[in-house]
Amino acid sequence: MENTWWVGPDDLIPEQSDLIELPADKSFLIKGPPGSGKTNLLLLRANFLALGGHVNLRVVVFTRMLQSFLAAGAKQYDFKASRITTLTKWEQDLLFQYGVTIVDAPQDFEKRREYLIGKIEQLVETRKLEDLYDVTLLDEAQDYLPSEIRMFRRLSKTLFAVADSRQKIYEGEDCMEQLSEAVDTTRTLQFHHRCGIEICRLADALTKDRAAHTPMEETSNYDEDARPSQVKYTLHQSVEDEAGAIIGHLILQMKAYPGELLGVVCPKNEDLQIIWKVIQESEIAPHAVLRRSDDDAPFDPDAPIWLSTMHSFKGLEARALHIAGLAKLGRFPNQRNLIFTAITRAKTALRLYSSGDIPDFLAQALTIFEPQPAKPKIADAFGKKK
Amino acid sequence: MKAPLNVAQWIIGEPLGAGKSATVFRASRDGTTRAIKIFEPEIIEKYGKAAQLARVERELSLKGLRHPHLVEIIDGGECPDTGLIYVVMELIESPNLATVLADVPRERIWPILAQLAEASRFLEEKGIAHRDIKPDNIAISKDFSHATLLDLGVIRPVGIAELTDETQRYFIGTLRYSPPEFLLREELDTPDGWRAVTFYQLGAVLHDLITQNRIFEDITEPYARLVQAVERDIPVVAAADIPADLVFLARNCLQKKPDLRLQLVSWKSFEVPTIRVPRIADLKERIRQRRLPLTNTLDASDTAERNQVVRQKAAEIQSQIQGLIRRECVASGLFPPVRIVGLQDQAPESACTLAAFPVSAPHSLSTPLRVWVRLKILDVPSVAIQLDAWASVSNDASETTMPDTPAIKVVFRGANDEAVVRPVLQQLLYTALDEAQQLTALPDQAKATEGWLALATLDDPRDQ
Repeated sequence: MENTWWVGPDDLIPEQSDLIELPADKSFLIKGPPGSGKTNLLLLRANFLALGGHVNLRVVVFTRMLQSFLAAGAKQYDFKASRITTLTKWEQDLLFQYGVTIVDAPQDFEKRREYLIGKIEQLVETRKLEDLYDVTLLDEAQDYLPSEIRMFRRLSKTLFAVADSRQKIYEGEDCMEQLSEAVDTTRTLQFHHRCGIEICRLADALTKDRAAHTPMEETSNYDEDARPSQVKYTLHQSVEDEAGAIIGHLILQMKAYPGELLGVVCPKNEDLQIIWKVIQESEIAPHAVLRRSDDDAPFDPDAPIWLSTMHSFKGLEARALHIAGLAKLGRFPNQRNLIFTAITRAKTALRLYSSGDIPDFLAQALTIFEPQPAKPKIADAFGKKK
Repeated sequence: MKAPLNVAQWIIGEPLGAGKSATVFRASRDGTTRAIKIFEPEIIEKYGKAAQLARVERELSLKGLRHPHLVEIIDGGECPDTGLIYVVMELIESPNLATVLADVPRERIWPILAQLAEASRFLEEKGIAHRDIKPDNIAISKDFSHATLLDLGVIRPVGIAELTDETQRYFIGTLRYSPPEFLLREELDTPDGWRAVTFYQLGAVLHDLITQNRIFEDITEPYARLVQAVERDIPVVAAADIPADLVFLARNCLQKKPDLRLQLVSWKSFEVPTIRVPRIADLKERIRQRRLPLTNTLDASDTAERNQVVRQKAAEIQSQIQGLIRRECVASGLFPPVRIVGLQDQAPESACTLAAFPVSAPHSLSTPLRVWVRLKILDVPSVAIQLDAWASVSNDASETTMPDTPAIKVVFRGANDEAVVRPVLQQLLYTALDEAQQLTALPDQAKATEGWLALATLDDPRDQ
């Protein structure tokens, strides 16, 4: 994936470079829209602190897939990849270090998460633990639970968190308040560069119910001249049909965007499996991989097509993104944030597919791409035939 | 008309051309050869001798006045022997433009138009309107280097209400080449009113030169259909091998509303620019991007509906302007990151855009720069727009402030088209950044130099 990580200081704009060398003894929350460089800044900040002697630090991310994504950047910056960990790994390591055994951990994601943080809370309370780390750096911090934030804060001298509340896609109590209280200063990134204008317009139409946010279109600095952006929505007979349409576009996109990640995501894993099956029987089969959030294989330019659920694709970005199976989006409690997060993974080409009704708010947002109907004349009401 | 042998001692030769009311013959006297226009006796019978003589008198008022691109009037009056009414003119042997329209080299179009405009302006300065400018009334030299405006038969002094031949305002001139207000004889009898007619007719000639077809060529019958076309149809003028400015000049000249026409066109518009940058790429882009103008005729009585249509159009053009600003700022790599905001405007035909740039040391900008572009739709069907701009360097974050009039520049006035508007916005953005950098390059001075930018190097179309 070329051009994913910044190469030198000239790649940064002042509001970004200002953040890297903030005082090391203070905690910060960095908010910013998708594509404002939050994850990249997190990594540069971590490296900057490590080079300044704060070697006892952890970069915490949500999934293994994100961990491997950051590891590629860490390699570029000569930053020790072992300092990047997932939330679960961080919790297990800590419990292990202090001899806490995990025997009855629930299988369900949400329940397991509650269980692990409960164990940590017990440990911290019994052992009176604090400030084990110089600094903890949190990516996608909006998705942590308030209890998790409290533990991170207690166990590290300072926090450096990046977050966007519109991208909160997991269930559980909102932690933005805890985050604000846990830091000394909150900074906001204004400008963003990833998403093309058409994608920003859809994102804005999806979030216009949230008046507090600056529309993405206003602050987009995406180079539309270099790569004009496009958003398309199509309705199909079945998920298999959706897969057929996606394959046709991917064949062209592999030629148009060599070496770049092309994504296929679904809200529901069952639909993703159907599409995966169709793709495996197609000519693009050798170039596609099914990704789970817990696999950490690096990006392979010969297999640039990644299939995953929308949740697992969190934090990543793709030159072209296909969001399929949208008929089941309405089943998710955080559906507005989920679709916002998914579409803002796309840089240039975004295609949405469904073979059934999509939630009204999404249908409404998509109307911005339809021409305004001309005012009908009375005669039109009688039909076209004379 | 059967050629008489002799009129006012001129020996009549071969006929050169015939119109509805008169025939022009070659004529000689005392070894000189001229053209003589002799009016049909039936016309004189119909409208009366006095009226006809009054017209000839008007034509003769130009006697002795010379202009390189205007036919010279030599003599005229009523022949004492035959009773025929005649005008003697300079003999021009060149073909008329209507017959050679398709042969005119593209690069000669602008010079020819400029010559015709010079002649028309010369007439205006003498207080006269030609009223019948059309390809049939233009002689063009074989090498296409020299154009002459002919047939001063329906010229009219400006601002004299009681003309003997115009007590009833019946239509004169040529319907096809008439602006709607002249067709309905609603033109204003003022220099402005007649200039608007002249600009339209020059625009129609330009249309013909560009498209190599008569204006409304496909409409001949019935007559009422042509009337309707003159009143309502917007002719399509487009060509990839013509400077974009010339295509726009034609469109602006052919505006249906005379006051709008005068807002968009001035005599200066016809002058051949001294330096012309090739614009082929722009033209291709423009043709690709061209969108059909909003053609549905608006019912003026339905204000709410009209406002909605206008507001929608304004929003559409504003979005286009915002896109152009963003593309220039991002693609050039020369600007700090930009935030582009659409500001509310009460008037439906207006929309304002703010481009705001933060302080950025790498861009030598130590105080925030803001550039405003205000769009005003002058005419919806033809999508004629005006763009006003102003800019500031200031730490004051307010977004809706407006300076006093001197700091507001009119940067564009004309038919909306990306190929023309984009360079205008480029000019504006680079001028603003350049001035801002000069003012704020030294951080210590920044405080003292907050304020409105002069945008000194921008052309104001009002000055033309």
